[in-house]
Amino acid sequence: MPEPLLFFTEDTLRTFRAAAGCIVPSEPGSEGADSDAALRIADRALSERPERDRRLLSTFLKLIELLPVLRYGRRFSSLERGRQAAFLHFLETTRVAKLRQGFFGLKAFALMGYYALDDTWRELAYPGPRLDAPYYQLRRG
Amino acid sequence: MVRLIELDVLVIGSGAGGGTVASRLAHLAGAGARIAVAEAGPFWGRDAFDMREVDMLKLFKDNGAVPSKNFEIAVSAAECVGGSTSVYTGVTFRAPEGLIASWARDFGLRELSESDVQERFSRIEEEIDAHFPGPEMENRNNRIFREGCERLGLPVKPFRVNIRDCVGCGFCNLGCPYGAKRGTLEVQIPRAIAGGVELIPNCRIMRVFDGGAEGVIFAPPRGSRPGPHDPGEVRFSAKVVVIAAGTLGSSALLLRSNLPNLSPACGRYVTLHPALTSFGRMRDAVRGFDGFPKLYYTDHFSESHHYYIETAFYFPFVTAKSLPKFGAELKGFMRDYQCLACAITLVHDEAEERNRIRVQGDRMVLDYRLSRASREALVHSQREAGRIYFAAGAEEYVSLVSERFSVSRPTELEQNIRQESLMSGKVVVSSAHPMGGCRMGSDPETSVTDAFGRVHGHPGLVVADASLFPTSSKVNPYLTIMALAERNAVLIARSLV
Repeated sequence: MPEPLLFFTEDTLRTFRAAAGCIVPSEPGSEGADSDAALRIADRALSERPERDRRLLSTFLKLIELLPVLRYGRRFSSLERGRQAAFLHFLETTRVAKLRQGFFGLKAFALMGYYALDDTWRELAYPGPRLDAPYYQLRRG
Repeated sequence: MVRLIELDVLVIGSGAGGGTVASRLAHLAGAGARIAVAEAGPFWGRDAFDMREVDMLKLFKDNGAVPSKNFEIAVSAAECVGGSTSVYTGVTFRAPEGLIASWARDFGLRELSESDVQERFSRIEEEIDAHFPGPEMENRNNRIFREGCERLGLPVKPFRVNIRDCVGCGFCNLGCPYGAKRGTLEVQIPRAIAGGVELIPNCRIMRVFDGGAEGVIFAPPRGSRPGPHDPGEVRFSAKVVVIAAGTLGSSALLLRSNLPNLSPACGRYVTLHPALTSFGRMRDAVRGFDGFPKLYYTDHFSESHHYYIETAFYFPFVTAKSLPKFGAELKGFMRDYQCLACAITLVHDEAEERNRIRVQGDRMVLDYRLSRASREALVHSQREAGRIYFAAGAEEYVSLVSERFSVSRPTELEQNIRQESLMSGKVVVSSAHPMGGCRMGSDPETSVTDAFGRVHGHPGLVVADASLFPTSSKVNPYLTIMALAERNAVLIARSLV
């Protein structure tokens, strides 16, 4: 990440990157939401959120980095991927509404970064901006 | 230094309400009246609509998701010139027959007449090119929905849409780059400007009072059109202040203003038209992104279960965000994005006093709890949308309120789609049609304005947006907003001459 980040610190980026890699995992020939390009988009979008939201997400990232210490004795970003995913699943379905809500926000920004990429669109066969001939003109021949 | 601007009329907001009022007063501006529109958001022109989903989140307040305090529901509201008419699909509904009459009867609004509003609907539809689209506009996503409904014997009806020379690029919800969608950005605001009304974008009004308003003008974001004034604090004097900042904005503005004798009903009785998306995965490509996205709805369940089902289309990010999964399963499902048929179910929620907008400092807070009836309607609607897609040949159906990620046959719908899965935070119900908060009525204890939007006790403050609705309009509200705003503008014009 050569350009300076607008929202993430080194610590929060580490946690977010690990979570984003679980939310949309990379596969051979297909990057995930933890790619630099996806993280850059999430970073910019987060920097434009109201100050209160930025503070909440920062706090949430710090919390999920530390919470697994109680269960696994290790921080979130240093867990192996399967345990990270299991922990995120716990956050998604827990009875504690604030944790579910925090995870929903985290997931939204990870998905925003990934599904805004032209490379992702190619995988989905989604054409993106329609600069080709207008649709109805094509249909009318 | 605070800039002072003297006006006859200040209109706050440029969406369906504010844009309509401004255009209806333009003839007075031509005759010398000083009229301005203050819009909190930027003035993005067609050239700024780049058809990229995430870039275009800048058209919305808070990136398109203003959550309720309990996170049960997130409201999508525009913040740009044109307001929500810049980001809607152009779906044009008249308020259901009898609704206006019931408002008049139930809320003591003797001056409000059903026939008068119906006549306005006709005239406005003509002005904004609202019409039933021809068969050439039916893309596969819409055809699947129509065929599914027909096979089940459900009535399927077309929407009127307000478009002209549509090229079918499909980006209506991200700002129409061709100017084919006839919202206030393309029709009423240009007319108002041509008539001499001044448009002030990036102007956030913080407080209104009898005889004016105070706010701040911000620098225009890069790529947007500049306004007529430099950034800084601003104070307007105006004989009439029209408040048309949308349900979220107008209630919060009145509450922030600490007006004497403001009705205790201010901010209350908010309805949101709670909505959930659902997806049918078809064997072949649907390509919902080709052509005009929304054409049909069924109102079969409107009386019995209080909801409509409408066709819908969402771009990749919002589609993925709405799916109740993550990981390889989500990524794999999204690979079939082009095979997804999509519908949205919209619930007619009741106007309840507890559902309200309040302010905490300068911040707006939305308190909204889904009622038991709304939750039941959402669950029922998700099952019925599934039946429609299976009838149309779907291989798999994904509902947001399902025990499993997807179901693959209609017999699984009842068992898997259950209220217990409607957990706040895991499933976020959406809203694009907030209404109420400054409801009309004759009693200042239970309503905020009279039948012409005049705030009780403050006749120079006139509300002209969806916050006026005493109850949900049950349908996409913009045409009803325009008709009510026009009525209010007529009265304002009379008071000025």
